[in-house]
Order: sequence, then C-alpha cells, then structure tokens
Amino acid sequence: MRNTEDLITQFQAKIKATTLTDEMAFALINLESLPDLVAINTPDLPKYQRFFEVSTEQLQTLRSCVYQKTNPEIVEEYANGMLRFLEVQHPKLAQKTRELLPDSSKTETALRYKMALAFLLDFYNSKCDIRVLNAVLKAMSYDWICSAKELEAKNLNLNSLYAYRLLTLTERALRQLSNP
Amino acid sequence: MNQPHRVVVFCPNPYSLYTTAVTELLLRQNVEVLAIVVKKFTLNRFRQEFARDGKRLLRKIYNKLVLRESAYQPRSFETIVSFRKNNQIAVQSIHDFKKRGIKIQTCLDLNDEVVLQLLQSLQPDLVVFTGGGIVREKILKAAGHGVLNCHMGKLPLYRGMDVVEWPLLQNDSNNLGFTVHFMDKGIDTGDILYVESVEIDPEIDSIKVLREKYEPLMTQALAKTTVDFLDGKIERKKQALADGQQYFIMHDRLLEIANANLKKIQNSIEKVYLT
Repeated sequence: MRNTEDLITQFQAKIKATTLTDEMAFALINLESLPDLVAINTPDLPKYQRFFEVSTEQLQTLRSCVYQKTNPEIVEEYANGMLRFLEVQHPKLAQKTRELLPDSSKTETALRYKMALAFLLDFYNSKCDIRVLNAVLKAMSYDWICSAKELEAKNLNLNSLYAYRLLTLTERALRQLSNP
Repeated sequence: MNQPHRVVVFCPNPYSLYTTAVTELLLRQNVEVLAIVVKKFTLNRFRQEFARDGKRLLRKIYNKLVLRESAYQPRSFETIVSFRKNNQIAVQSIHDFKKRGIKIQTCLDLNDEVVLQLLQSLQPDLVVFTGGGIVREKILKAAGHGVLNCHMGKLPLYRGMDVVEWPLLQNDSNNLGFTVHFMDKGIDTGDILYVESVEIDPEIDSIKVLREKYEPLMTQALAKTTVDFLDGKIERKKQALADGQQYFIMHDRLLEIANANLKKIQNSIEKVYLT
C-alpha cells in the first residue's frame, strides 16, 4: 500500500492540472504553490453553542479570522468548544454524529468534519496548542472522516481537497514537533 | 487519646497493588479503614472502557491482572513492587483486609445508591480514591471532608488524561509530578493539598518506565497527605484554573514524539553523568 506522503505528492500534480473555484481554493489556502483565496463573505459569529450548530460558512469565517488575526477571543471559544466535543465524544463519534445529523449523507458529514478540522488545524498553527492537533489526529483516525485513500479519487472534489490539506498539514506538524 | 481517623477507600479492582499498599499504609498510621468499595468488572464496563481506548485497556488488564508484580523489572529506583517488598506489604487482594474487620462493598458504579447508603451509614472523615472512575456530586457530598485523589500530573497545570505524556511532548519535563487533591464536579479541578515533582533518572527510557517511578511515590503521598490533612497539618488550597489546561488521551503519533523527547532527556542526563 502506498504511504500517505506518496499519495500527497501525486495529489499535488492533480491540483496543478486543475482550475480551482474559490471554494476549492479555500480548502487549500496557505499551502505552498497554491492560489490565495479571495476574501469571503463573513457571517456573524454568535457565541459557540454546539459542534454541529457551527455552519460551514461560519467555519470559513473562523478560518479567515485566524489568518487575519481578528476576533481572537471568539475564535478561541469556538476552538475550545469544538476540541471538547471531539475529545469527549471520540469513542462514540460515529453514533453521536448519526444522532445529531440523521439526514446528512456520508459525503456531507465527512466534508463538514473536514472543514471543522481545517479550522482547528489553522488554529493550531497560529497558537501551537498541541491539544488541538491531538484532537484533529484522533478525529482523522476515523476513515469515514478523513482517509489517505481519498487522494486516489480520479476527479478533484471538496472532500479530497480538504483531505489533502489535513493530511499535508498534520504530517508537517508532526515533522516539526519531531524536529523542532 | 484522640479518636482514630475514619476513612473509606474507593478501589478500581480487588487486586490493585496501589489500593492495597495505600490501605496498608493508612492502617499502619492508625487510620480506621471502615470499608473498601470496589467496582465489579462487568461486560458492560469492559465495553465502555474498550470503546474509549481498547488497546490501552487490554494492555492494562494484561499488566495489572495477569502479569501483576512480574510486569515490573528490578530498577535502580523504587517501583511499587520493591516498595511493597521494602515495606513488607504482603497483602495481595482487598479481600485479605476482611480478616482485619474491613467491610468490602462491591458495586457496579461508584455512584450507585448502595455506595451512597454505605457512606451515609458509616460517616467517614473522608474517602480515599485509588481508582474506579468518575465520582458524582451526591457521593462527594456524602464523603465527609470529600474524596481525596492522587492525580498523576502537577495541578493546576496538567488536568485530565495522559498527564505524564503531555509535559514530555511539550518539552516541559520540569513539570512532571503528581498532586494530592480533593475531587469536585470538574475534572481534576478540586482543592490541592500536596504537589510533588518527579525527576527523570538515567535509567528511564520510556514513559512506561517513568510511570513505574510515580507509583510508590504516589502511594506514600496519598497515605501521608490523608493523615496530615486529618491531623490538621495541611490546608486545602484553591486551584487557579486559568493557570492550567485540561488534556485528553494522546494520539499514538504524538505519543511516539513524547517518548522520543524522553529519550533525548535521558541521553542528556547520561552525558552529564559521563562528563
């Protein structure tokens, strides 16, 4: 079986041969040799309530806030709330997800998780809070959330792009932690 | 002469080396152990704990219930096995304490009604916790001064799980240590009685071995702090929660890095010894 690093390298070639939409680019933002994202519309961020009440638009807003270093308190509140959900629910995450998102398809659910993890990884990169990386790695240990196999998809899609981002950044983070 | 202090001990399994050693030390200091409450190991409990971290649970069962004392190699520092030997603690199971008049109460969960009723009838000065899971508020309130626990991390810095691993991962080995504290409804957020640092010896080449160094130190600290507190020699200190964070079970990839960091520290200690 090919390892994750090989799959990441091959996937990079696929990305370079493709025209990306803004949405796709957002999945990849801040990775080398990839297009920068244009500013997105930023909906308000209410007080954090529950993991699945955070919309995909709000997740993108949160990521923008991390890049732009704005709203640090609310970003931290969301990151801590989401971290707590992932950790506390980790052993029964699939069951909990089915209960809370009964009508969501597997693809939608996986994408939703990946977008949340992308925000958490951005937060980790800005704050270096290893607890956040830990929660992301543990969530990614579930294949139904993120798998290196997704990089073998023939056509690019949001799930595979987010998988690429998550795998690339977690591998990089682990390398940096191993060799500070 | 003063009345002896009266405590109840909470216990994770009947053969716990830690529980039996702590109980023995308490008895030797003239503490009256009224009862030991032990959680039954049921299929349901196995399922729940397996879902949380199956690999770790199996390893724990194998080490603590199958290998027991033979899981420990002789070390230059004291392990729970050599500590027990040095202190002539021969008791192998909590059931051995029955002969000394201590009631053994089994339960499915430490928060069961039977445990509450036991505490209400015995009215202990406090409960000494040596494992068995989360303790709810109704039990905490029925436990006299409260439930005393020895947490494997320095509080308030390291609350939660894998708190030996996290300081190593974060290159914060100066903050390896443990804390005797009262349990409250939060996770490791109760009042602190005693904190002790643990240093890495040249022989310690893995987190597993490092944990072996903690066990006898925690055993002694929990027993001594219980007595000192009941004698009025030490006072409760509130935690400044903002000074620390809650940690969770560490992912295997991070665990590898924490172990590698420990090796680096070990190598640097060895170099200092050589020069």
